[in-house]
Amino acid sequence: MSIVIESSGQTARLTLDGELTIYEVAEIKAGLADVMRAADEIEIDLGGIAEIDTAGLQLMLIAKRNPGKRVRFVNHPPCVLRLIDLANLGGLLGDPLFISATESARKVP
Amino acid sequence: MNDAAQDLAQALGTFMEEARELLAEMEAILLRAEDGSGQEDDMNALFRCAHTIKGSGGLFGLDEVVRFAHVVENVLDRLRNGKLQFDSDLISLLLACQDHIANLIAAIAENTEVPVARSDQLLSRLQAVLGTGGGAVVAPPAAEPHSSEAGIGAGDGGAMGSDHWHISLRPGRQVLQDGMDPLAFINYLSQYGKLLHVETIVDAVPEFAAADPEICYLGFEVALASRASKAEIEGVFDFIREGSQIVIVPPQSQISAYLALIESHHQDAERIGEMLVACGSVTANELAEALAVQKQQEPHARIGEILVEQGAVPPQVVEAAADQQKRVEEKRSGEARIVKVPSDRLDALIDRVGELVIAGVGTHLQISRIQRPDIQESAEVLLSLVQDIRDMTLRLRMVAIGEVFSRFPRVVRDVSRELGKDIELRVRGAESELDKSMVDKIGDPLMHLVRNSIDHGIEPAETRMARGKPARGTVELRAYHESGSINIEVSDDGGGLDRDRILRKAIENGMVAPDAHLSDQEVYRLILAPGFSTAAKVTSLSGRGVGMDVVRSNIEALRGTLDIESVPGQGTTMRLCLPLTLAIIDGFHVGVGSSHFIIPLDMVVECIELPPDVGDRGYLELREQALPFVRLRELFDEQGPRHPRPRVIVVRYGSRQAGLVVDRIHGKCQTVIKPLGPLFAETPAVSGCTIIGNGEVGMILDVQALVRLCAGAGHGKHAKN
Repeated sequence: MSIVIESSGQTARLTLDGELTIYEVAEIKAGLADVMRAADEIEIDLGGIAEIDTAGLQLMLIAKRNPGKRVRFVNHPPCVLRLIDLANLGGLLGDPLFISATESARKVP
Repeated sequence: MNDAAQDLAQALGTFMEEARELLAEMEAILLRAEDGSGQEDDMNALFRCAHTIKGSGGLFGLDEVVRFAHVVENVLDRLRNGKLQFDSDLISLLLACQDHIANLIAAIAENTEVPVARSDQLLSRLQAVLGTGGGAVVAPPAAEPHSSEAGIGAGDGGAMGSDHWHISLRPGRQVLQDGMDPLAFINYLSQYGKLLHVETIVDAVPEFAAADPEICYLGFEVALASRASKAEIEGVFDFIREGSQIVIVPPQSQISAYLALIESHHQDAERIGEMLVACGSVTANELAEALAVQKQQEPHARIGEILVEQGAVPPQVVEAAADQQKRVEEKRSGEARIVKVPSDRLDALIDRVGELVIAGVGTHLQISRIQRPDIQESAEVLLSLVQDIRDMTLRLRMVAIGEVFSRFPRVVRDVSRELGKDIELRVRGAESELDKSMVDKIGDPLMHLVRNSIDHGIEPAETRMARGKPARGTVELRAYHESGSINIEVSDDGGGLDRDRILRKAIENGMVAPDAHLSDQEVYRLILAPGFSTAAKVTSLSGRGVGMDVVRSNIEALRGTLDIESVPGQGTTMRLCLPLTLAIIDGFHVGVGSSHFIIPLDMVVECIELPPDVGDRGYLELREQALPFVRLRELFDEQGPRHPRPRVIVVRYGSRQAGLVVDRIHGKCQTVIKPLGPLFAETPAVSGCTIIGNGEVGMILDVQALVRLCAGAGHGKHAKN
């Protein structure tokens, strides 16, 4: 798991790499908390996420529940998309998602 | 705040106790498995033990326990599912893990440093067994999806339009920490059919600052089109059932089933209603109607009743539920039969009862002096009631010795393995009872004796074969009651004590004069002396010459004794003899000069008159046997008035008898033992004191020491001291 933080003014960009599961959520949340103290707008790049579980998904929800901060997830890899789709949380996580053709084919009509 | 902290401390205490019981159960099962005498339900029970420890550990935030137990649980789960097989290495590993959990809990209880390094070491071995690097999520049981008619089309008339299963899942807050992934289970449901709709309930997710990302705040409502049976669908959630709320509504269910679901989430009923509609399980109209109908109905109509009445639930589901309820009830009634009382309260009670006994005896003595038969009679009744209360109170502290014995199968297994010996442990009389305080204290001495038997007693297999004995050695633990005391024997069928070698060593060490004539018993007792060891080689277990003297002093601190019997080539028996209780005894009250003495009644054999012609010989003839005796007047340097015809109280200790010469006999009395201060530590032959009926202080005689003193004198040898 690695967290790379770049910030410019009030905007910070986090790049997560590795796994986003129960084993990492505490560490990632602590990292997020640091970033949120300094920035109001946070973009989280999920491109490097190889595995995600319920705890990881929940952490995404938690990150969004932060009054006064704008948290945006970008670059969702397939595993994250699959889980968001399964949990039917696409609307709630409120980020533009690109659902691949195979993924959408699997989607319940 | 203080109350809350206290409650927590108390709950934690309960957890520790429970964990110890569970660990003991795990050990017993593992040992059974090794013997091949495992029982059918063992694997499940084993899993449950680890699971419960982990679960309750999590409740108290004992992270290290949870982290470790979690992986152990994964291994046990594989065993339970038949994906792993027991072998002796795995059993050893699991036993080590069980020990480690016990150590973790002990470290927490004692507030010492938690041995994390050891956890990691064991965890890596467990991971090797699991064959995975991460010890991650437990896969749900891989059952083939079966189609089944059960549960489908079960409801006639009034059935709802929905033709899919509705599953409402509220995972327990701990599931994530337990390594369970709720969405993985939901995903797995697609093995059984088609996931029509999933709604994730996020209402409980707190704001960023307040959220603990390792706690599960989510809930799920799932619509599933499947031909699987209810049992199959329930099976998917087996792993997260504990602590979670799971409601499964079969297809074609009547509206009442959905109402039940809504009712079970009474705090957010409206929200669930929405979810049901969102899942397409119920239409908005149906829901509104049903809720209206329900409001008209009796407010507390039991959902279960309605369900059965309307045939909404397949009968086997009801049976299973009823079965589970019954089990819960059985467990409850089992709990009700045992009341846990803090031991200090029990001690306070025993202390008070002691005072009651003293006061009762005093009152009785005074009443017996006045000539009022009616008062005397009621005093007699009162006294006998007090005696009953005394006996019952003391029995409260009695526990079966099996509690101590239960740890030995493991010890014997480990030690005999370490030494490469094949040894069987037999346990007899585990139901014999003795005082709880004693149970706590004899564990270590017994452990030492058992280790000694295995290490020194039992010969190597080749030697045994050469001697015509079975290659497998036997160590036996046996407990039985004998005249107010409990005897605990540790015997082995090994080589017996080597009398000559002990004697030679003792002479070398200057403990015995080279020309001394000692009985076998006396020679054997030499091994109890500090620093004595004849072992040819020192092993990690014993042979360093510390220990047996510690064993002896531990046992003597309990007013007990240690006897050694040994037959060369056939084995050794170490016999611990302990009083049943440390608090109150029936005493035999005698007087010497103006002093009062109490002899424990169980040890009194008979009373005779001192023959006038004994002189200064120190022994008298009783039924053609020589009986050594000691004059208490001389022993205690008593100056008070003499009695013209002194009496002899014949006492027995173990197999030996001795006479105690006294002036007067007062008779039987109840005696509450009070400890003597350190001032009297050097006083020989007195083990305690008591307050006798007339308010005077009486000394309780240490019969064991007196018998030994007499025996020593009888052999013309100076007693130690």
